[in-house]
Amino acid sequence: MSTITAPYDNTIETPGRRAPLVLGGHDYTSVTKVVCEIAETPQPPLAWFVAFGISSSMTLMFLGFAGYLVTTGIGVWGNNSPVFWAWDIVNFVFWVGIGHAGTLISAILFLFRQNWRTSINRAAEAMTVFAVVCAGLFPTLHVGRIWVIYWLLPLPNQNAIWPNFRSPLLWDVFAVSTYATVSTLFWYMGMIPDLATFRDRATNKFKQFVYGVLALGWTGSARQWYRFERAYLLLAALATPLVLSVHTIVSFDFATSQVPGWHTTIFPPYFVAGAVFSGFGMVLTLMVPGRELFGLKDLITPRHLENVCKVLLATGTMVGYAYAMEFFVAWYSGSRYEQFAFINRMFGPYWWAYWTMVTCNVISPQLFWFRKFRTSPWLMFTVSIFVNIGMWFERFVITVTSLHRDYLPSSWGHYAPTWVDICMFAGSFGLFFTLYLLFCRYLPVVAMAEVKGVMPRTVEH
Amino acid sequence: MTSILEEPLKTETTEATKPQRALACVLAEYDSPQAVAAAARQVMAAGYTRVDAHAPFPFHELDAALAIGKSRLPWMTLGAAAIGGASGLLREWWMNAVDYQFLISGKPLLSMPSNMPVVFACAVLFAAITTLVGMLLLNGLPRFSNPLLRSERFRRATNDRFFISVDARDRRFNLDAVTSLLQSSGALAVEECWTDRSGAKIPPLVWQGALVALALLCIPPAIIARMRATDSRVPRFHLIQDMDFQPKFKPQSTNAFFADGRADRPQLPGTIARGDLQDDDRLHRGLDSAEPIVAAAPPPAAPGAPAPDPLDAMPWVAEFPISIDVAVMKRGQERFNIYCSTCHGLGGDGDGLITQRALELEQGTWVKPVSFHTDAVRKQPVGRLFHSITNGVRKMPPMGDLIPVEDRWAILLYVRALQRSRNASVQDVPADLLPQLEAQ
Repeated sequence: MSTITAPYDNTIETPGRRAPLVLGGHDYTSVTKVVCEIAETPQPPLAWFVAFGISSSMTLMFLGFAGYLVTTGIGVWGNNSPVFWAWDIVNFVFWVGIGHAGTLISAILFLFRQNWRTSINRAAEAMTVFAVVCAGLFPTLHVGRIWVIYWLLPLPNQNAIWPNFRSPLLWDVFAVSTYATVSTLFWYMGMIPDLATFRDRATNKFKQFVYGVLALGWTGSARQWYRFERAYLLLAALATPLVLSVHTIVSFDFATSQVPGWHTTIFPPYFVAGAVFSGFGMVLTLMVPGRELFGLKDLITPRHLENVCKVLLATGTMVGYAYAMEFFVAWYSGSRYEQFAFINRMFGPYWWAYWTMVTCNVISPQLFWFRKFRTSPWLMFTVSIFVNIGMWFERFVITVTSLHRDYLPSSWGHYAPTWVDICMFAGSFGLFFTLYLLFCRYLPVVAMAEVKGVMPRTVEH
Repeated sequence: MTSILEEPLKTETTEATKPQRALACVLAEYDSPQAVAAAARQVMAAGYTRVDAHAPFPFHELDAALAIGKSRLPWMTLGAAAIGGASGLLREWWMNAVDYQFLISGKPLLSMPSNMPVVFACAVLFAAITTLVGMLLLNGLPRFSNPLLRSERFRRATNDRFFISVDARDRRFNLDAVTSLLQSSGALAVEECWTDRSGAKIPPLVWQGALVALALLCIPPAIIARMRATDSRVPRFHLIQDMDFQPKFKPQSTNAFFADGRADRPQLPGTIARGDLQDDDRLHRGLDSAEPIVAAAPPPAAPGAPAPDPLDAMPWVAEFPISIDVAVMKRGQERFNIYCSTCHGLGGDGDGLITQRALELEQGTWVKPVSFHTDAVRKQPVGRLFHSITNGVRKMPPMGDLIPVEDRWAILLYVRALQRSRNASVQDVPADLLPQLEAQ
């Protein structure tokens, strides 16, 4: 095994030599040890307990408010005529967007043979699954009468009618639920070999049983690996168009309507770029503290982080281009309503939301042109927080400012969230981090088998 | 898990001379991918076919060394995608174009572009599930009892060591030959793996618990099935009160809030519904002055000798309060034939089909309509006749709610024409229509 001595900057490109993706002189044994011990240690770091305490309390708060909403009605939210879609839909699109990075890293970067993905794909996929869980909750609660939510599905019901398959809202049901299922399958399938590692290292019967059941009897046979890799490739090929289609269809919820500011053909690519942008922002938000907390600095190296920063720079620029192009389209369309909608975004009552969005999404990622920002974890962490904030505001700008002033000035209104809106949005973060912290504690956070596959294979002795 | 499975094995083997154990395979351990690939080539070259290698990660030297053939998996995925997409489309077509037609803005019931997103999602969903399940099944997974997994040494196969296993069912299998071959191939260690044939038992707690859970799970469907199959006079129990069931007062119910105890409130005096403002006495009541008719009292069913009728004294209009032309006359004829002729007869003689039938039945309750051609009727002013149509007379019900006011006047105009037709001479016919009359 070739040893790479500790302080080694793998962000510098050396011509003719591949930058190593694992630092710290690790071999197969120590990679397994580093990853497994996160779950095997009897006592996780204190920070984990603190974070888990906060996030699980916030989850309870979310569940409490969800119960209040279901028993009282969605009038407890601030949604009202003419802003019928407000924070709930904003949060839905926000979380679904975050959910795009995981599958993008696992599927698209896999097809492009980007080996650096191996250290971060597992955690990013977990992030995807949990973000989609948070996303799904908001439209579920938004329907109001969630006890008849099965009407969304093509199931026989007491009304003897079927759902309208030509409605974008129904496409959304299919797209998001398919995406949730496929992401979960992809995540789980990739985890099977690592769960087998957990099973084989388990020291008590309970863990052995649980991980044994989850690993399904994996033995790492060459034939199993061969089919596993075929299946992985196929799933990646299926997930790639899927990941692009999901946010496209989410954008159809808006784009197929006639509301000025929504009715544009630029929405699908614009939404997808924004989703990738926000997803990678969240990846960075999770990875920077995560690699410190769990001692994964040798596996999630500065090079990984730098690559994520580069993706953020690229997609942030695309998003900025889309913002500019929206204005061009509004001007070029000659539609006065469309033009008004965009002027209203910039200078109307919600001007602060628009300019927060522009500052966070267009200006802040441009800092990644500087090497200093791409290589210092805490600077990029700060930028990633801005990206998260900016992308939430983007959805707020699209949803609320378009609705609050459309065609008829007599129907204009103003939207303000209630405390239930605010607490439920905060609570969704609690749910997300609760799930994520549990994942870090009990499941393999790094795809060990994949990392071993991209390590140099020269024998030392 | 393993120890649970092994316990019966130990007791059994002490009693009988190991019928419970059989050699499953020979296992050799290596420390690098290169070593295991070289050994795999060596074992395959020696002619063994049931050989497998185990590694903590995939590497492609092994595929060639073990001559692993192409997998059927991509075809399964493709097939599932096709089935998923086609069944999705078929479902959309049947649900939206056949069973419950959604006609939206006259668009086609089945159009490809708007049905495509769901078709795509279904295709991907089927394909993804099939890929995972297909991969597992082709790999013989899940398989929880595997002789390899009992080997303490083999635990490193998912960590940092590489293994070759030669199956005991191989045609050329010979324990000593295989062991020496593997030892000579650079193995760190070689060991035998044994199959446990004692018949693994599920711990009683597990299957008893499962049985109880299964029994409990059957209860809700059984209750639902029973409720569906039996009649009930009790209203349905609604766990969640829908908007239909919000608190409200229904008609004819009581409400202690109001002094009269009624939940439904009477109209305030002077309330007039939209379009019900009948402010033209001539048009709406056939009266020349604003003096109100004693309308509440139905027309007195004067038996026998006509007592002085209070209606005689009313100031009835003698002229039609609407403008008269051929269109109104035609309209009146049409309406008369629809509403009046069934009793009064097409000619107004009081011999309509209903009258004929009623008299035929001889039940004694039918009052024959008066012929329009009697003097008493002919001499009535139009206002009085209009009043009779509107409010009814004798057995005739009030037609005011049924026939709009202009139509009532049109009918009356036609009635006047019928009356005139029985009392006219040829001179009354306009000269230009005479030839037409004579031709008949």
